[in-house]
Amino acid sequence: MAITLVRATALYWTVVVLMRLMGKRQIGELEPSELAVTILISEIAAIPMQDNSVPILNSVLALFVLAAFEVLSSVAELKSLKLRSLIQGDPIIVIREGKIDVKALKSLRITVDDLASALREKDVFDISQVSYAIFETNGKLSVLLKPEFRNPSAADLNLSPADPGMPFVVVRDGKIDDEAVKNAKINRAVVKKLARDNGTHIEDVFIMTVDAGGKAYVVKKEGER
Amino acid sequence: MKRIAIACALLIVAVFTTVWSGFTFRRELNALSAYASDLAESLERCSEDEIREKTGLLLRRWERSSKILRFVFSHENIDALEVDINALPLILKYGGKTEFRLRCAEARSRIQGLLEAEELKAYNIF
Repeated sequence: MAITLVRATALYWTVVVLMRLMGKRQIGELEPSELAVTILISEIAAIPMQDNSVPILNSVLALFVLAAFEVLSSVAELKSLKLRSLIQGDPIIVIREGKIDVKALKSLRITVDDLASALREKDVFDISQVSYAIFETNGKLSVLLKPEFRNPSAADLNLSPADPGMPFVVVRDGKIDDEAVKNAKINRAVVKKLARDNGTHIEDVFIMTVDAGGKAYVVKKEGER
Repeated sequence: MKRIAIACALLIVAVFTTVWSGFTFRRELNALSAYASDLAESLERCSEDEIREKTGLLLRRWERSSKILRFVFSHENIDALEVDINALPLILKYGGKTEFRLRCAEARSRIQGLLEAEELKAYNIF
């Protein structure tokens, strides 16, 4: 049992470190090669974890090689469009200028029902409203509606609303996040003052956000009110 | 850039470990195989004391080698080989020469099997 515990711990940290090395792409929408690597990593790590007779060195070695190739191939893909196209594939336009490209659908082995279903997932229930629909390399559908069916933007309505900027979470569970404070272009003293202005102290704050205009939103910890 | 450096380092570690383990396990297995062959051959020409001494040498070598070999090979394969080698002193004491020779041959055959299984040959890869 102790051996299983130590082996599982070692493999857990190896996989976590390697996934970190491979970056955020690995935990978001997966491209085909990334999906393959992720599945392989989980399989390779699981075998020695449940079978103590399998040397852990063999698995760790295989994990190292997979992670290294994943990072190096993603770097190579950044440099070469041809390689990216070869490994990841290309986005395929299935609706072009409002017309369904049957040939493209056939090449993707997707039926019109599948296309309609994917459109509904994008809140498009009427296919005639679509100007362009593109199947991305990660299997997701991107949709561009015809101009008459798009939501009007502020620019369309000739409005110029004030931009409050992005609010940053500067305090989490009573602790100041210095990186967020820097991003919000303020300092710790300002954060403390904003907390005081809201009738509380930093250690009693559950969450505090500050936007570019210096406007704070404070939620106190439960039972503090 | 940092990621590329780490990825390259991991590849280097993987290649280095492969080369190191390749050399190490081959050296250990060849030594064990030589001890087992010598032991089987010396049955006819050596005294019982000499054979006992050579068996002891093989056991001591196995004690050292098995620790390294377990890093590379499935523990089940190593356990099977260990049973063969550890049985030799008892067979020498209570069994016959034929049985002893057979057990030596069995151990050698297992060692050859391990050596062949790790050879970088097409039939092992596919």
